[in-house]
Amino acid sequence: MMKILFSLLIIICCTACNKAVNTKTFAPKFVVEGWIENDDFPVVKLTHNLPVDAVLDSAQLEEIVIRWAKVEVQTDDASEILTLVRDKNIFPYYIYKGTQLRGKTGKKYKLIVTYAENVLTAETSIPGKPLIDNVNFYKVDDSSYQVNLSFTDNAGSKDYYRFYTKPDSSALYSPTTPGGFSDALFNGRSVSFQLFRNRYSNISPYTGAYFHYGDKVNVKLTNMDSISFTCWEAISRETARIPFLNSGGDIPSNIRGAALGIWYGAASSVHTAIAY
Amino acid sequence: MRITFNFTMSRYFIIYVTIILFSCNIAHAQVVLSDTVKSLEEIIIIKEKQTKDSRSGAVKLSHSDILLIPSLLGSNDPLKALQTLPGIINGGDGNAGLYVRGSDPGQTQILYNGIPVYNPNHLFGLYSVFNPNSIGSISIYKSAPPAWYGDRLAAFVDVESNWKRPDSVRLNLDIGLLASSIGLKTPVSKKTFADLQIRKSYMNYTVWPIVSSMTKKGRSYDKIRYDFYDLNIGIKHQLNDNNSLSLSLYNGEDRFHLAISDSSNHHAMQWGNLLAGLQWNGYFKNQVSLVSKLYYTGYKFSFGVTLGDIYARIINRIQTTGFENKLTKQWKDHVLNAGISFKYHTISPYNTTSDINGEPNTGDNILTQHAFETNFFINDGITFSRKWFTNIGIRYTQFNYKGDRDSTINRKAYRWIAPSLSLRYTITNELFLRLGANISYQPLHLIPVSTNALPIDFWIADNELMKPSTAKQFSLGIYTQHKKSYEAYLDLFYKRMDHLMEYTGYFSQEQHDDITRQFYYGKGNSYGAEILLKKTSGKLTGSISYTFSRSLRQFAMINDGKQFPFKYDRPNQLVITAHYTLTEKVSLSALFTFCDGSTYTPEMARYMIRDNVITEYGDYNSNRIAAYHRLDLSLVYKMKPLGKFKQEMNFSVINVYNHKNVLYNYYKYSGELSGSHPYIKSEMRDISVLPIIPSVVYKLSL
Repeated sequence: MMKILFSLLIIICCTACNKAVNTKTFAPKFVVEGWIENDDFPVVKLTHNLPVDAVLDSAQLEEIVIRWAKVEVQTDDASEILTLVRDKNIFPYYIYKGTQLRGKTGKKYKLIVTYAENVLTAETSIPGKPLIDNVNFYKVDDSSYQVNLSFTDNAGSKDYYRFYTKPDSSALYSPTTPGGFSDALFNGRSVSFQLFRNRYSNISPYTGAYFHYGDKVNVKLTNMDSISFTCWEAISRETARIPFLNSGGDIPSNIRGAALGIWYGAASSVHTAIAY
Repeated sequence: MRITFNFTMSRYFIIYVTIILFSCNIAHAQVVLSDTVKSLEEIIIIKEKQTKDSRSGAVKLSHSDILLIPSLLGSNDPLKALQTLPGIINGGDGNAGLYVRGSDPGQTQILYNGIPVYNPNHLFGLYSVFNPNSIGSISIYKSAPPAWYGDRLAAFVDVESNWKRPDSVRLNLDIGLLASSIGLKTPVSKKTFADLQIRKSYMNYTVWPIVSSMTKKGRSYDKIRYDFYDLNIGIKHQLNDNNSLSLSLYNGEDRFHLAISDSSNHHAMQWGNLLAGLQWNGYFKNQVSLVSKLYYTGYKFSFGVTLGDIYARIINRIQTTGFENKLTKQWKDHVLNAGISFKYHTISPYNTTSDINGEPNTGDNILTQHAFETNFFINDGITFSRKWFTNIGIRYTQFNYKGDRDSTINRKAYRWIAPSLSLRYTITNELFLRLGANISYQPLHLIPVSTNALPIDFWIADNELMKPSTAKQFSLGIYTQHKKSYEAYLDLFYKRMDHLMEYTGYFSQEQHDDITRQFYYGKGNSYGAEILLKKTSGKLTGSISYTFSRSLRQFAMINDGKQFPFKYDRPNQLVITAHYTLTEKVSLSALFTFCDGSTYTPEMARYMIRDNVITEYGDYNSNRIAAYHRLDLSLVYKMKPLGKFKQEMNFSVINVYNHKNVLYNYYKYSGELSGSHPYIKSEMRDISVLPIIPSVVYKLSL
């Protein structure tokens, strides 16, 4: 009997080699990152995705930019075809910008991107402009200061807030921790949040959680619609990569067509304060 | 051969009699007792240390079996000992879950003296909640269990206290670097004895101050605190020759705290179980006995985050009050069991509350589910002949979802009949075949939020939106014992599962209104072969356990509806245990584990949003992390007695060759997008949690 069992063990061992196989293959897709803010012109970045093993050097990063698309933004009473502008300081270096159609609170904006035979569409709207009551700093220690943002929520609307900061010396706003809240948590109330400074993106170096004595800091409070907020929440989770928690999977997108990304309307307020 | 015994001693002692037959290794006997001793159950006369019960299919480890496994941080953990058996797949270092035959940890019911335990582990599973000093035995039923077990898809783990009455006062003291325990087991009167065991860790004074001092101050979470305690109380009172009462009480709690020094930002996690049960064992005329049990079991987890003036909290809670009865009647060729049980469940799954600037928020997600469960069962063990034995059982369950606090979900009743059948054929005195088939249902689900069976995973009950999960399982086993030294078995199994649940992912603020709507539903199947070879006598004892199994899932909303492997689908697992008695004073133990890596979802493509590298994922769970292997060793040195006290030192080393078993991997990105030479670098990082860990424990016992 023992011989039979040993024989079975050997047979099973010999036949049990298994390797999981990934059958999904890379599918080229457009990537849209576009926004329209209240009192500002629309901006759209168009790129495409790359296989995971692609080397992301300067040539490749230049190559993923879509330069010859027709990008149009429409509202109920106007439309504009955006113009491709080169800006070597802002990735992806070629950006589609509007010059006539300014965003207005409450209006809906449709994005239509046409490239070769492909048509990508998306819709968004601009919510109400949030009002910052105050920005001050919480002194952590002699050199570290934490931003404290106070604002009052509009009780009559469903709002989705995201928070950003940037030192006056920097060109770009970075998201904070916490990254934002739906007003379901504090509808119609005045609230204040202590915000940790965060790095600009997941390729940027860490900045530390606090500002320093004397820093002039711009604090931006952005209100956006539900789909955009859910998308940015997912991007925050994806880039944070918290160990031991289940992955959220692919990022949701509101672009229709063979594309990834987000077209979002937003309304923002900025308040500047000095850390002391 | 049938043997008739005429016992004159009390029944209490008969329970502990072990008779070794050298000529026929396993036999059974019908014991017909005189009127003075009324209702002894059928006794199976077996060799010492037989692991597998060929009738029930249970695999049982005694306290002495558990002690043969190398101790983990000085503790011979019963659940870790169970994981040396085939069919129980290793979740990886720091993973507390029991993955039995390709199922989730929540699909295995863990019972402590018959009371359900909803979270059997302290942090990262390094210690289970079961204090080895209070445990008598641990059994697992993986296929065709008797009908008094039910309402779980995978398995039943039955942990029993050591209810053996002590002759005199017994004291035990274990002193380790991370935790210590002290216990007292003593007769209280001629009819009563009590067992009290307390275990407490003190890492807040030993480990964490060192970790904090090595962490960069103020720039990350540099203040870690974690400790646990547990308390076991067992009291047994013999009312008279025929009746006894036993009381079990367990309370344990873990407290974890993470903070940034000099700031008002911190996280705190706290979780624990409370179990209390009173059991009456009564014996009547004509070999009839009754076991009645009244119990309460509760598990609560809370996770609080304080960020300045914001306070947010997640609470998971499950509480069950149960009343169970099991009547046993024995005839010459039958052992009939029948019973009824009632359970009331109150569950708060993943409730979130927050408080901003001192005021409660306006959008708390609070759901408290109530459900009432009634079970009837009948189970008959029939001996047809010396060759044939069958166990047939039917369990009827009515699960009434009574609604939730906000009455957003309607009441719903589910009813089912779960049959179980096993057939044993004795080929020779040393060789048995066992065929098992059963259908099972599960109305309560443990939903994994974490990848690692952490305490944040929450329980939820089926309501009108969710259906009970079901499983159909078939198994075929062959068992053998060779003389008194070896035993072996081979089990083959196939299991088909339906209405399995997967949590959709993160709990979005925008989706917070109803967690019961946030699941995907699908099906799955598992199959495999389990082999155990065991040497049970001599200076060298030990076992080789090998499992080949596959566990696959199919969900319409995951992986485009294509079949994918379960996260803990690890086709090959080999576990070797060895215990060598070097001298009367020195013994050595070793445990080696090898298994294929668990699966993960690989990255397939990348794209850029707001200068972030974002991932597109490939087929779900379609890649494997590197294979897992680890060797643990321990040495027990029995010192010269200290008066009446026995002393021993336990030295152990976990992960002897310091292999980094990957638990999780991710890409770390860096680069520069402005300037004349933009680039992005990606680098895969592996996370492993258990390096080589030596430990020493001093044990004193009376």
